[in-house]
Amino acid sequence: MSITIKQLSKLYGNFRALSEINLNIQTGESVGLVGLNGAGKTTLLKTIVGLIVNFDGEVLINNRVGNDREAKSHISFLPEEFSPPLYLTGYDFVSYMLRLYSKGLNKNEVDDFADMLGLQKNILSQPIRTYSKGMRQKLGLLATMLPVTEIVILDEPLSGLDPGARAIVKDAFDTLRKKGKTLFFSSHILTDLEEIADRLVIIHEGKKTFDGTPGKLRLCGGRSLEDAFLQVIRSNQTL
Amino acid sequence: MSRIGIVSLYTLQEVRRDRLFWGFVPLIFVVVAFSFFMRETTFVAGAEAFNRSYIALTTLAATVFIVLLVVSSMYREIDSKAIYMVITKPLSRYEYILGKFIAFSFISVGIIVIFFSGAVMLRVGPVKPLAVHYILTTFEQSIMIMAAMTITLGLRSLPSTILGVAGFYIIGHSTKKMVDIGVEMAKGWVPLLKVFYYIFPSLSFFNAQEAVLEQKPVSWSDILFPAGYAGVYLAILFLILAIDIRKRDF
Repeated sequence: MSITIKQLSKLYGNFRALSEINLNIQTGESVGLVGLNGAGKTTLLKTIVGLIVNFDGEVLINNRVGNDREAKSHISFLPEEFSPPLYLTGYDFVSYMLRLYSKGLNKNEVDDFADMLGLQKNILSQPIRTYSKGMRQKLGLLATMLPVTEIVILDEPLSGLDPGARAIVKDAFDTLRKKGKTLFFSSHILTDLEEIADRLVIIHEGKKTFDGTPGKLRLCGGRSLEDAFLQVIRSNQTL
Repeated sequence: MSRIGIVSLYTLQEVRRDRLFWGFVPLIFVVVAFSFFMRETTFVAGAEAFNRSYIALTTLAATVFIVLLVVSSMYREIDSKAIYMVITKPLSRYEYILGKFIAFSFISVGIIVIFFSGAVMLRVGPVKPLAVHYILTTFEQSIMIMAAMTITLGLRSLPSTILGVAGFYIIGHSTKKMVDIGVEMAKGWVPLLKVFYYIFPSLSFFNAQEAVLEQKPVSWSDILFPAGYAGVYLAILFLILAIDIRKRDF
């Protein structure tokens, strides 16, 4: 299940949010998307999942147009700073999301996954309005990772989580990678990305400036991955 | 179950746990209490004052209540980005709109049934005119639900949405009066004014209050024209919403 992006450009009025992005993500790859604030990360992810429909270029999910119902049935998406409907319970929300994929709720499976994410089972019966910010994020992750979709796209999935919760989520990512799922996610935290991504894509001012392994990025200079990232941004050349 | 049904089902699940929804219970008491107050403080025709007040207040309260539910629920879904999780699933944006519309219409019918039952129990008027009046109110409510959804999804700002929906309702109830004044003042403009009469939302079609209060004869066929008008107006609003949401970047 692959993602192919050809010559993707997006304008907001006169502001060019994305400029001729070409990207190919193969089945089973785990790809991290990095960039400064306003670089175009969220715009790119939203375009892939069909939230942005006015753009130039092409987005294909397994050779089908990204907005197509069949293509959407292979993708699950977690938006940034998302909050589930406050008056549903955790189980209701997960069941709602699964049923939209024509799948029923298997409570044991949900409980196991919730356990893996450090979300107590009893909390899933409570209305979401009683959850903390971190618990809402975990519920979002649970609902995104649980459906049997081959592609999982997450916008800043680790934001709002404490170090303990981040470690748990990274383990969950590993489980998904082992299952052969294709992962594409954005993050600001490069050290986290190094652990969970096979490949990093850097975008700066709407342009793709780097595409390669974390090891390749390290070769760009500096003492840390963060230094190397900044070198790439400053040099502003496509690598 | 179809995806439209799934969206409706979980919208109903959410709304029934919403505190705003349970605000309906005190609202009923306020409406009935105010109607009794009108009866006791009116020197002439106290019973008529009660009936008039009950019908007017239930119609207004039902509309305000359902509009508040629609706007708050839809706005919350947009603001929290929960809508992103839903519309990126394998369902079309039209299915999402229809699912929401069906859920809110279902609640609206429930509210109207309660108010109608109250009217029958309190002997506000003969049953048949009351039934006609509350059926017409249901049509008005469905137009208001679709209008509230269109405006909320279109503007995505709470103050602008509230102003927009209030404006739609006020225009809807003023169109007939404005056209009547226009017809009196400028006879040459009558054909154009009639066009305006049908293009602007004319919510005055959905009212049989006088028939109830003056016990005028009504027939079921009195519902036909308003039903047709409501159907056409709903289709127009749905078309506007569908075009807007199809081309909209979230």
